[in-house]
Order: sequence, then structure tokens, then C-alpha cells
Amino acid sequence: MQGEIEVKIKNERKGEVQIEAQSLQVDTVSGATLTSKAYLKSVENALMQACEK
Amino acid sequence: MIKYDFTKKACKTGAQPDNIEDVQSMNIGMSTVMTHRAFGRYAGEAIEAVRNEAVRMEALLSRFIPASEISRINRYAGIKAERLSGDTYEVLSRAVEFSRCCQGLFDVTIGPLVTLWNNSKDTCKPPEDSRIMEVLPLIDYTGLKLDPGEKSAGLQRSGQSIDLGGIGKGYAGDKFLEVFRKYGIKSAFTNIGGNVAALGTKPDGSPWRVGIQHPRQENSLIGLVSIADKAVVTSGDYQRYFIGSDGKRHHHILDPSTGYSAESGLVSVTVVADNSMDADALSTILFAAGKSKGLEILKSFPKTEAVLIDVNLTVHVTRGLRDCFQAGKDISIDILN
Repeated sequence: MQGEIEVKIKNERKGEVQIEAQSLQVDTVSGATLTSKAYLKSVENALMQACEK
Repeated sequence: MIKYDFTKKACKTGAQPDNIEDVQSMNIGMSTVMTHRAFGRYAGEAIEAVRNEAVRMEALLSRFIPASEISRINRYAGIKAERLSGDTYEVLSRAVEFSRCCQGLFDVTIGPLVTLWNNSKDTCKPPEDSRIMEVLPLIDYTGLKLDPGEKSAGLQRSGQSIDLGGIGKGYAGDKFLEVFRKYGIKSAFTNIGGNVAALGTKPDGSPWRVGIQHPRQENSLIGLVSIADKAVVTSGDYQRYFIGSDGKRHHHILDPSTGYSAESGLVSVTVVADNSMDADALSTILFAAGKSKGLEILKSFPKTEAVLIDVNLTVHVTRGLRDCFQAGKDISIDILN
């Protein structure tokens, strides 16, 4: 379980880096309603990226 | 099997006094991903209670759960009215008010049309025009009769159905903040798949910084709003859509008057309001209305502001947000009067 959480946090960090590049630090993001399916796909992509490294 | 569910406790971090907990939680619910964060002595318990509240809301309001109150009303359309909980009655009453005030842009009985489009998503082909024309007469909120004495609701015509897509998550956001308050929390936010509702400020007294998703660049922001005690809800054409063989983007915000995806020249609308139910309904309505008509509608809602992004990605910000909106790099903004 530990490993999975780490990937998520890494993914979050990745988001932060991109946000920092635009010098926008945020607490949370408002956007068009994400489906749980789309969210799971993004987690899957993050896992794939983590595995490639 | 991966469990997409975690709660993170970071006690005594930074400048937090010993008895202040900083708790964050993320899980799948209401067909989306929810994150909550709370600061306070009972932050952990509060978040647990909010998560239970989410389950309760979904069990009342989802039309995909057969035993929900909304499913019951839909099932007995044209047959009988159903007695409801205070919650379902409240959200339906407000949904009818919005349907009345924004005729042709928002209709709580849009269910049959949503079902038709949902079925076409897998094939990436829009439903046949004749099918749309067939269901269009059923989209008529005047057929939803509410009885305040009985606290009941019934659809007059068989085939009609309620869909709370443009308002239900907003209502849930308001309920979540009520739960936080009950636990003595003064600083928290909830984010239901992009619908944000914030309680108070951050523990240090600074406002919450809520990013606004860039409608055409994934993982990128178009800007942010700094807010306290406000809801920030966005409607956009960049989630829940498919590109048809004609190259057209068919997204989930349907225009109840045409039966097709709303095409108003806007790709994203963010509404900042005191409560998240209104912010949710208004972001959907403004998206369908377009810029000039949308701003006209917004005038009847005091203390409600908006960020409208048009097809050229110009960001139009209402005057009241001038000092709390910060644009991303290379983003052009237009402050509206």
C-alpha cells in the first residue's frame, strides 16, 4: 500500500513542479467534473511513468 | 487490486499548535474523485463524517442507484408522486427555481437526453436526430410537481426523468461544509471532482488559493482565485466528451432546448459564490448561455462572480474578482465591467 501512495504523491509533486513553473502555487484545483474513469486513467499513466523510470 | 483511497495525517506540521491536526483524504465517490482537507482538533473525525455524508448523499440523489429517492421518482413517472427526505426536496426545489429562471438553459428533467447521449458515448457517434426530437418534449420541468406540505415530488409524464448533474454535487459540497462546522472546524475545503467549496481561510489566515484548470492543456492552470468562505465551481467542455466522426466535440453540457451539446462560444466557466449549489447550477447555465447572456443572468445573483474562457482562450473576469484572480503565464485577461 505504501508504494501506491508514494506514486500518487509523486504525481502530485509533478503537478506542483508544473504549477511552480507558472509561479502559481495552489491548494486545490477547480475544473470540469472529472469522471472516476478519467481519474483512474491518470493514475494508471502516473504508475506507467513511474515504472519506466 | 489497487485501492485509490487514502487519508494522510500530518500532525504538528509547520506552525500548527500541538492539538491542531491537518488531515487530507482522497477517495472515489459520486462517480468522481473527492479530496477533502481539514484543520482542527477533530479534523480526522470530521473528514470521516464528511465521507459518510457523501455516501448518504449519493444514496439519496444518484439516478444510477435504483433505491435512491431520485430513481424512485423517475421510476414512477406518470404514475405517482414519492415522499422525500428534506435533502432531496431542498435540492429539487432549488433545481426547479433555476429551471424557471433560466428557461431553455437549465432543466432538471433533462434525464432522457442525458441517457441518450451517454449511450452514444461508446460508439463515438451522436444519437440520431430523430431520437433527440423524440425525447425533447419530455424535457419539461413544469411536469415536475413538488408538494411542500407532503414533501413529495412526482413527474407527470411517463418517460420523464430527473438528472441532478448540474446541481447535485454542488448541494453535496454545501452539506460537507455543514458537517465540518458541526465538528468545530474553521478551516477546510472539499473538492468533488473539480467542484470546490472552502470553509474559512487557511489556518494562518491567508485565503485558499484555488487553481482553475486550463481548458486545453492537461495538468496546467489558466489562473487562480484567492478566496475564503466561497465555492468555486467550473463547467467545461474538456471532460466527459467525445470527438465525433465529423470532427465535432460532443461534450456533456447539453442544451435542453436543442438536445445537443451547448455551443455558446465558451469552453470553460468558473463561478465563485457563497454556496456551492448555486455556483454549480450557475456555471452550467452560464456555459450554455454564452458570455453576454450569461453576464446578464449573473446580475440577478449578487455576490456572485465568474471567470469565462472563450474559444480563443481569452479569460474574461468579472469586476468583483479583479483583485483575487491571478492569471497564469502568457494568459491574456479581460476585466469585465
